[in-house]
Amino acid sequence: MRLKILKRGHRLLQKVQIFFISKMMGYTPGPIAVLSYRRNFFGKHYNPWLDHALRGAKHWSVGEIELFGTFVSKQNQCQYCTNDHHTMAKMSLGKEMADAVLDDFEQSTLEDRIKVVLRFLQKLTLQPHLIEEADFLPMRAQDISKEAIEEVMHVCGVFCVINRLADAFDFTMSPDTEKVARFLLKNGYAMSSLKG
Amino acid sequence: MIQALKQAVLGKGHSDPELRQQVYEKVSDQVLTGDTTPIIAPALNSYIDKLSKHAYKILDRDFEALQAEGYSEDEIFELTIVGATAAGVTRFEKGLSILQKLK
Repeated sequence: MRLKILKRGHRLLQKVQIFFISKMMGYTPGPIAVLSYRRNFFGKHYNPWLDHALRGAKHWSVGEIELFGTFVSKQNQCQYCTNDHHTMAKMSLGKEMADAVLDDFEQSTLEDRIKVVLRFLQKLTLQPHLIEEADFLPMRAQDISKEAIEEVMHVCGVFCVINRLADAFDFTMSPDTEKVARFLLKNGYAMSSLKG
Repeated sequence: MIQALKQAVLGKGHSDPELRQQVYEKVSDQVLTGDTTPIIAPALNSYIDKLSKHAYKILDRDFEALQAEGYSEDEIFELTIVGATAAGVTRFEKGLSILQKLK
């Protein structure tokens, strides 16, 4: 972590909670440190968006959402987020599907409805200025509803935020991604910004 | 939800609100047009460029350069949050504006 305030600047009750989380997870997860520090400035408001995007989707499974999150993180070359969310996608969907988004997904056995979303997410992540109506049409042709497309754009949005924060602040890599993944698959993201 | 986030990161803080607005607009411009307008402060301009385009290239020395220009840790925290928020929110908003027009 590049800023001392993100290691030692939390309020007393937050420090107590962070102590127990660190004991349980073997490290302090960067997102919790950032979303909890002066939470009225950022974490209190970003956390509901994060939870809505990753656990509020009605048209995609949790595994598919984690797969999309892994893919956006990989496009942004964020190792921290790619590792953790790839593990969640792997636990939910199996190794073959999860690994497909780390390599050339076009050559993979992923369903066409997933591939069209990945193409869209790739462009929205890396070339957002070139996004146009035509980029949405392959998804609509696969009978993906407008609501379902909005859900994947939420995933792109929240990861384009947290990927940058992970790399800028230099989050410590998770020592045990499976433990992190099990925790997040069971509990979700609603408690990422600690009160105190 | 997203509007509340934008208002919070551009509202009350330790850093100059005008500077935060400039950072937000710079990153938003990059998302919308692929181009950016420079911010007056050179070290901050270079840092926000990296944050916007390839955050994985940010190094300790980028933070050291900001601190050498007098930015406090809380100011760096806020300006980073603002830039990252602009990157995510503007992508979502641009996509949504096209999606809403689709039949």
